[in-house]
Amino acid sequence: MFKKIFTLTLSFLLLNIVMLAQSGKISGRVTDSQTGEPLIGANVIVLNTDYGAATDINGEYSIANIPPGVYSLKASYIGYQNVTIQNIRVVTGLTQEVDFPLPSSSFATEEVVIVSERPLIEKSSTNAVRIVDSEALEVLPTRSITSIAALQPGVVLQNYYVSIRGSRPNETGYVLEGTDVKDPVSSNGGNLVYITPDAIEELLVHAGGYTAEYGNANAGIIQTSLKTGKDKYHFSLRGETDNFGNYPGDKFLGTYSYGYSDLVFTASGPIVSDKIKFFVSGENYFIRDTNPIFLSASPETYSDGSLVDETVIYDNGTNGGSTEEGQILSWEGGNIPGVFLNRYSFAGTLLMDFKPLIVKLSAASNWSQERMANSTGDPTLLNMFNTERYPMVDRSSFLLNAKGTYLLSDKMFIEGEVSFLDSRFKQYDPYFKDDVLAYSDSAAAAAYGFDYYSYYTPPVDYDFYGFPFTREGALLTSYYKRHYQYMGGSLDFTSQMEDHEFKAGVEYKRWTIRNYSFYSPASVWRNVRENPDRVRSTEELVSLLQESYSAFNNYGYDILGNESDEGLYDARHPVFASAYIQDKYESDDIIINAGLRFDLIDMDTYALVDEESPSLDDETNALADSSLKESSTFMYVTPRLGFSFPVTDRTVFHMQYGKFIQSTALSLSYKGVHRIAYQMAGAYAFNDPLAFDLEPVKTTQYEIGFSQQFTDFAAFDATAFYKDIVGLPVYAIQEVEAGLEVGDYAIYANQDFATTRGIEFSLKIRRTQRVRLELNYTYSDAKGTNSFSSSGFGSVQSNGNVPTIVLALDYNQTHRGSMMFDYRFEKGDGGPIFERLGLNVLFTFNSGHPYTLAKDLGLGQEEAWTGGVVGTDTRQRSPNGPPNSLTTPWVYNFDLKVDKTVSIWNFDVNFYVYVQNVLNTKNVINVYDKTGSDKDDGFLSSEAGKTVVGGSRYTERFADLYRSLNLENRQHYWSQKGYDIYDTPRQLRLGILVNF
Amino acid sequence: MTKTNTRLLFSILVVLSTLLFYTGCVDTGVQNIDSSFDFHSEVSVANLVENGGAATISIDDQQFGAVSVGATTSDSDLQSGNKSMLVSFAASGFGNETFSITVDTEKKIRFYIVSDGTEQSIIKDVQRYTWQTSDSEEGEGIFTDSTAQVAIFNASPDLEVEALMVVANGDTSYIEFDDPIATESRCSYFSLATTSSVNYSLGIIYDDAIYATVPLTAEPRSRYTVAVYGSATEVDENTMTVKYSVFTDD
Repeated sequence: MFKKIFTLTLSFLLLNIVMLAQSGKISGRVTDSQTGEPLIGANVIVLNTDYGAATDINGEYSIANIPPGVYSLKASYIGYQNVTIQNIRVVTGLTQEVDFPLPSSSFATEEVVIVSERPLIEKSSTNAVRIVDSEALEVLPTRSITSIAALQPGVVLQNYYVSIRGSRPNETGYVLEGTDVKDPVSSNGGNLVYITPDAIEELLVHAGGYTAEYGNANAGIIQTSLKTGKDKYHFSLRGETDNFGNYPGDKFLGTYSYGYSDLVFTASGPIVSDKIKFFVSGENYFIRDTNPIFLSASPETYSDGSLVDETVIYDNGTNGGSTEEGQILSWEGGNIPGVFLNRYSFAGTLLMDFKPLIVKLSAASNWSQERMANSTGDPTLLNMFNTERYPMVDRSSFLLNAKGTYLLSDKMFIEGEVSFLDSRFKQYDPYFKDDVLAYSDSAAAAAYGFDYYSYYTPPVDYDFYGFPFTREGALLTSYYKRHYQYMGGSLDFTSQMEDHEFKAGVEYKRWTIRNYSFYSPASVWRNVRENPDRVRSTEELVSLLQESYSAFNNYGYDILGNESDEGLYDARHPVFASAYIQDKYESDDIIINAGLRFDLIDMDTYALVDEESPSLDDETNALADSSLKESSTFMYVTPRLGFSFPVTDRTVFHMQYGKFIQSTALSLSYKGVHRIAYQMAGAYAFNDPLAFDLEPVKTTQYEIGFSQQFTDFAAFDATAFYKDIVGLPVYAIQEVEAGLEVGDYAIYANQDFATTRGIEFSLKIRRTQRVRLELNYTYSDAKGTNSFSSSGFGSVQSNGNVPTIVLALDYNQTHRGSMMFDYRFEKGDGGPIFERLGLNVLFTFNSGHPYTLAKDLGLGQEEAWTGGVVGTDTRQRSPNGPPNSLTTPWVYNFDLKVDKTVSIWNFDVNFYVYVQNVLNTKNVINVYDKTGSDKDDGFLSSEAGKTVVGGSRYTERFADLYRSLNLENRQHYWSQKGYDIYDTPRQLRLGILVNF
Repeated sequence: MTKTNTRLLFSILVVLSTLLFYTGCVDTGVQNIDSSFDFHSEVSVANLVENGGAATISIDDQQFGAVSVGATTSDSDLQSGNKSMLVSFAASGFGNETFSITVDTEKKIRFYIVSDGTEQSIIKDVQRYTWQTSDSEEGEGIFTDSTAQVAIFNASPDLEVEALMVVANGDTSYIEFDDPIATESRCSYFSLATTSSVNYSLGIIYDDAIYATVPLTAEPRSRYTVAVYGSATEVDENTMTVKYSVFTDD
C-alpha cells in the first residue's frame, strides 16, 4: 500500500511540474592533448554525484540538469591519464564549457588535477544575467538579499522599492527554487518568502530580456537557488550582533546599537544512503529598530529657557482631552522605543538521486512578529507615551516545492514540479487581537486600565502645541488580515539534439487570495450595540453589518471574518497558465535562443456590464448582480529571440528581443463588494480607486551587449537596453449617467506608458595578487506618463485631467553604480597573522532621483505640524516648475567588512566585523517638496507658519517642537511619505561563523 | 534504499512538513466578529400613577408582578431591544394599557409610569451601564466617596421644581436650578455631603411654595432619585402638598 502511495505521489510530481529551470549544464570536448584529436567514448563524470556522460564521435559531451553549485569534473579514457578539473561553477540556465585535453599515459604517471578559473564572461547567455554566488554573498558587508540585488546593473532600490530598468516595482519577479514567490497583489511587488543568505547557493538577476520559459514579470527576475547537500557532512553556526552593551541610546565607537542579533545554523550531507542528500538551515533574526534612522535626542531647553526634561507640557484640550494631563516631552537619541522584529526562518532541500529518477524537495518557511510604532511601521515618536499599545504584525510564509526529473536518455529528460505556497499576514491591536469589536469597547479596555474617552472612543490624542501625541491606551491600528495560497504545477521537456537544446513546457498556477480589512471598530460596535434586536441571529447581524459597508474591505472572508469560498465574499482565484517552446542552438560561432511563450491570465476580477450605469443592491450594499459580468481571460503569444556571438574565446556579442506581458498588481482590481459600493456611492476622493477588467501590461524590450575579457583576469561587459511599456494603470475618473444612486467614481485604466533606455557597464577582475574587483555602472533614462498607478490622483481629482505629459519617472536614477573591492589572503598566504584575512569595501553611488518642486499654498486641510510636507493627498500641491524636472543630490556610501578565519581542531572559525555607512554620512535620498532642501521644509518661515506660531494653540513652543521633531527627526515627513529624507545611519555588526 | 528506509524517510518528511506548516502559520482563519449578540439590561418599573392603584406589569410576556403606587419593582434582567410593556391598573377606570419601550443595551433602567391626570405614559430613566458600579453615573467615573448623589424626578403635572431647601443637622441651604425641572423630566445628580449616614430633609420648592418635604437618609457613595408625582393640593398660603417617593439608584 505504502509503495503505491509513494509511486502515485511521484507520478503526480511527474505529471505536473517545473516552472522554471533550476539547473545548469556542462558541455565540452575531450581530446588528445598532443594531437588534438577527439576521443570517442571518453567518460566525463561530475565527482561526488551521479552525473556524467560519454563523448560522441566528435569527442563532445554534454551533462544537463545539474543543480547550481561548485563541482569537480573528471575525464578518463583508456591509454590516457585521468584529468580532474576542480572549481567549476554551474549556474542556473547557463552552459559551462569545460574541455579536457588528456595526456597520454605514456607522458604522465599521476592523475592531473586542474583548478579551474571561473569564467569572466558568460558565452552561453543571450541576455544580461548577473550572478552572485554563495562565496560573494559571504564576503559582502551586507546580508540583505535585496541590497545585494540592487548592486547589480539596472537595479534600483529606492524608498524600499525595487525597480529594474525603469519599470514599476511590481514588474520585478522573484523566483525561489524555480517557483514564483512574487507578491502578485501588492502594487509595490516584493518577495513573499524570506530566505537566509546562508541557505542561498546563487542569486541571479535577470535584468529583463529573459527566455520564453519565464513570464509574468516584465522588468526582470531575481532568482535564488537553495544549497543542496554534498557527499560529506557540513555544518555551520553563525552569530551576529550590533549590541556591544550600548543598546539603547548609547554609542560604541560612535555608533548606536539597534538591538540586532542574528543566529543561523546550517547542516548538510548524505542521509539514509549516499544517493540522498539534505540541506537545512534555520535562522532567528531579531532587531529592535526595524527602521534605523538618524534620530537626535530632544533638545535641552525650549526657546524660552525651560528645561525640556523637567517641563511638563499640558494637553491644551483641542481634541477633548483633559487639560490637567501632561507629559515631559523628552526622548533619547538613536532608538525608537518599544519596537522590534523577531523572525524565524527555515529552508531545506532534499535531493534523492535514483537515476533515472531524480527528486528534489525544497521547503522554506518563515514566521515573524513585529511591533510597530504606528500602523504603517514608521519610526514615529508621537506614540512614545503609548508603547504598550503599539500595533502588532504577524507574518508567515511556507513554500513547498517538489521536483522530479526523469532521464529518458543521457540527452533527454522531463521535469515535473508541484509547488505550494502559503503566505499570511495579520495586523492587530496587541490587547484585543482578533476580537475586533473590542478595539473600541471601553468596558473591555477598562480591564487593562485604559481610560477611554467615551464608551466607543479610545483616549483622545494630547495636543501639545499642535503636535498630536497619543495618550496611553489610545488605539493605534485597525485590523487587517490576508491569506494568499497557490497550488502550481509544471511539466518541462528538454532534449539535447546535437547543437540544439530544445525545451518545451507548460505551467499552471491557481491562487486563492483573501483579504479582510476592518477599518472602523468604533462605528460598527456602536451600530451593533444600538441595535440589539438586529444582532441576535447571524443573518440579521450580517444584514446590519452590511449597512456599515464603509468599514469593510473583505473578499475571501465573510463580513464576520470567516474564510469564505462562495457567494458574495468568494475568495479570488486568479489563474496564470503558460506554455513555451524554445530552442537553444549552440555552436562555436553563434548561440541562438529562440522561443515562443503563450500566457493565459485570468485575474478573476469584477467586470461591469456598463461602466456608466452600475447599480447597487440595496439589501447587501454591494454591486447588483445585474451590473456584473464575467471578467476577461487574456491570452497572448509573445516571442523571445536572443543571439550570442562568441567572436573569440574572450569576446562575445549578444542581442535580445522580446515581448513580455504580466498582470497588473491584483490589489488594484481586488476590492471587497462593500468597498466597491462605498467608493461608487461615497463620492469621496479615494486614492486607491476601483478597477474593472484591467488588461495586462505589455513590454517590448531590445537589448544589445558586448563582453570582452581583455586579460586573463579581467573582463568588462556593456549592455544597452530599450523598453516600451504600455497599458500601465493610471488614475482616472469614470463618469456615470445622470440620476443614478452612484456618482462618478475613480478607477484605474490601462492608459499609462513608459519608455526606458539605458546602458549598463560592468568590470570584473578575478582575484589576482589577492585583489578582486567588481565595478558596476548604469546610465538610465526612464520616462513615462506617471511613476505609480496612483500618481495622477491629485491632477485628476483637482483638474479632471489624466496626466499625459512624459516626464522622468520617480525611480529613475540617471547614474547609479557600485564598486566592490576585496583584498584577501588565501590559505597559506601572508603568514600566521594575515593568512585568511580579508577586507571588503563596497562603494555605492547614485545621482539622485527626480522630484517636483511644489508651491506653498498654505495649510489647506493639512495639520500645522505636517505643514511643510506634501502628503499623499496631492490635491493640495501645485507644481512650482515642470514635474520631476529637479533631482535630489548625489548619494555616496561606503560599507566595509573585515574577516579573519582560523582553524581550531577541525573547525574553521571566521571572525568578522562589518560596517554599513562607514562614514556615518547623512545621505540625502529625498528632499522637502517645497524647498528642495533636506534640512528646511520652509514652513516656519512661511506666512502660514508664522500665523500658526502666533496662534494661542501653538505659540513659540510649536516652533521648538517643529524644529526638534520635524526638521531634526523628520517625523512629519515619515507620517506623510512613509520613508525618510536620509538613508540609514552607520551600523556596526560583529559576527562569528563556524564551519565544520 | 530499502523499503523500510524509504517508508521512514517519506513519513518523516510528511510529518515534518505538516508540523512546519501548521505550527508556523499565522492564524488568519479565526472569526473576528461573533455570529450573534444577546445583550441584556436590568429593568425596574415604578408606578407613579396617583389614582391608578397597584399596577401589574409585564414586558414582552416577562412578568414583573404588581407594584403599588409610589413603589418600584426590583431590578429584573431583560433582553435589550424594543419591547412592549403591558400595565394593568387595579383602580377602576384605568384598565390595561400597552406601551412601547426601548431597553438600551447593557443599561440599568428605571421606567416610570406617570400620569398627567388623563393619560398615562412611560418615562425612561437610564441610570448607568449594567457593568458600572452603583457609585457612578452612566458612562461617568466614580464620584467622590464623601458624597451622596441625588436627582429629582418630577412626575407631577402641577408644578416645576425650581429649587430645593436642604436641611441637615440644623443647617439649611438652598439649591436653585437654572432651568426648573419640568413635568416628566429630571435633573442631573447633585452632591450631598455624607462622610457617614446623614439625615437630610429636602424641600421641593415651586413658585416660592414648598410642595413637599422629603426625608432622605443619605449614605456615602450612594445615589437616589426623589420622585414627586400626583396632583398638588394647597395646605396653606405657602405650603402645597404633592406625593413623593425616594428610590435608591444602585
